[in-house]
Amino acid sequence: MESNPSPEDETRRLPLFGSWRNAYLAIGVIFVLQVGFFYLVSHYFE
Amino acid sequence: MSGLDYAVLFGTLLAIAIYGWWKTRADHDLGHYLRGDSSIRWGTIGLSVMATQASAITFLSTPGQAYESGMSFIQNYFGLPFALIVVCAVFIPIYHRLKVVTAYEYLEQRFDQKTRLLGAFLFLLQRGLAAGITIYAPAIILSTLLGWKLSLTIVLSGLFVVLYTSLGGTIAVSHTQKWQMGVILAGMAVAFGMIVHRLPANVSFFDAMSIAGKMGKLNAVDFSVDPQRRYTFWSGLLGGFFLSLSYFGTDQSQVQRYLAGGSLVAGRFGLIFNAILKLPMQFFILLIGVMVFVFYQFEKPPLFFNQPALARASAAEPAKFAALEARYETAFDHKESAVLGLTKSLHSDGPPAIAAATAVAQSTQREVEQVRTELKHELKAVDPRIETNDADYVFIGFVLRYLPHGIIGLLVAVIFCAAMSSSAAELNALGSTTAVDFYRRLIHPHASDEHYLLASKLCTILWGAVAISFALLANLVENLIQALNILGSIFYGSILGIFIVAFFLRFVRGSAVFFAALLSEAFVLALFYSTKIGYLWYNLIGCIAVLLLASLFEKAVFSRR
Repeated sequence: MESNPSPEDETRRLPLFGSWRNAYLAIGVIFVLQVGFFYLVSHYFE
Repeated sequence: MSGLDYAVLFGTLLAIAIYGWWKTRADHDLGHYLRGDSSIRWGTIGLSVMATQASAITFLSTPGQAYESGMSFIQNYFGLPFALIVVCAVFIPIYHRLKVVTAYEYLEQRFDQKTRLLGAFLFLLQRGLAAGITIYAPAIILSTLLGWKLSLTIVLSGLFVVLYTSLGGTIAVSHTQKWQMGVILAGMAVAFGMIVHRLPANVSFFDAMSIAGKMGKLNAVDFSVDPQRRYTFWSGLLGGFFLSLSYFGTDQSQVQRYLAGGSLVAGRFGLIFNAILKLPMQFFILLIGVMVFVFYQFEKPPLFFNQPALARASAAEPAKFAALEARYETAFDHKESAVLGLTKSLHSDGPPAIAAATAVAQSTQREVEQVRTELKHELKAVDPRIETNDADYVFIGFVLRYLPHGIIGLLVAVIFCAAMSSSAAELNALGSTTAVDFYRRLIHPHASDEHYLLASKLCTILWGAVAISFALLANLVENLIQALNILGSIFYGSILGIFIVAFFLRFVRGSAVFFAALLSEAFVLALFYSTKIGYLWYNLIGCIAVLLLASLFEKAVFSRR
């Protein structure tokens, strides 16, 4: 088993987002965009 | 199904199972068997978490749900991304720090033995029942439509999973799930392409979306606050958050998946992968159901999708069902011309003419639905045990009737892959929890690793036998995916409550949370039997009841002792 990485190590090894905080923020933003897309699709073709 | 379909089906299933066995053939380490190893990377964890949640029922029921009632089921997953953020930020670091094998071990470290056993027991109870449904659900549908013997289908698909899960443990499950998920995603993409390809030449994808929208099938987001409505934005966001938090944070079948890589980063990244991709995947599966609905606007669908059941009932009352069939033919002809009129109007007319054509198409749709409602009453009158919800048969019936050979084999393989990937994770978790939380803790505490490895394998085989037996005894319940979610929602709230108290209410001790969880579970069961609240709310209610009662008991009763 690997030992737990330090916060610095985690940040360095985290591709795409840079830090966990950014990753969580990205999930929130993507969720809003996804729901917005579903809403627009529903209403555009209504 | 032709010889080509059987070759694709068995070739796919065997190749994946042999790969799982081959990857773990020389590994006899207890830690690897229960927790996996660092060869499992974040991509494998992400697909494995997704494959565990996406059972065969997802691919049989979800398109059928969209066919019947549109896209509203997507809202069930709105709380999931936020729940995964909490699991990544709070749950995973604690599990890693304490190096637990099962989530329930943590409860003993935080509270006491009885609370750990209660958490593990509630998990075994609901997941043991769910494992039976996971095997039974695809078997009943495939055996009905393909003419296979139900018991043989259950036993064969069950035994296959038990074999590689008990031999290879967590590593085999994770690696096979990666390929099973690959087959599933590829198969669903092919199905979507084929459905759109089979639409009439003058109906584009854009037209198909417009027809679906006008017929009320693209209702993906509903902001209503009516608690009686099953799927709304709010019930999905709040109830779905607690359901997902409990499922991903405390259900061992998921905990085992993201702890499998051994690294905190890999586990978290696997969950982030799911937080971002789960909603588009569900949207896509629902859209397949909507496209099947549009396809059936131009091609007459069967009056009742579970055709063997209809044939049995018709044999008892032939005249009555022939009359209904004749009325259905007429109603469908009306609808077909109305939808063709709507399509023409979409191409050439302005909004008022489109609105008029939409109203006509909707009224003919109601005419068709009226005949189907009457048929269902007649079916119940002939045989009260007949399941009149035929939504689970819509998608697979379409595949068998309209898709070419080879693709049929691939899509039946998708259903089996999905069934095997979820039941493998369930059996793996049930076996580990029984071996670690009960056998090692209570019965045989000081044996060797080899002894526990053997015990884990035997427990997995035992749970496999229980799940197969339950599947053999089960009867078809309403809509299968709903049955699984309802079952989960009844127990998940209380289990999650125990974990939330453990993480955030540091002043509460074991006995207070133990009795609070028991009472909350009784309360949720009472609500289930006596009210009609949308089931997603049970997750929220059960969890909050544990938090309140545990705080109250700790302050009013146990702190005085």
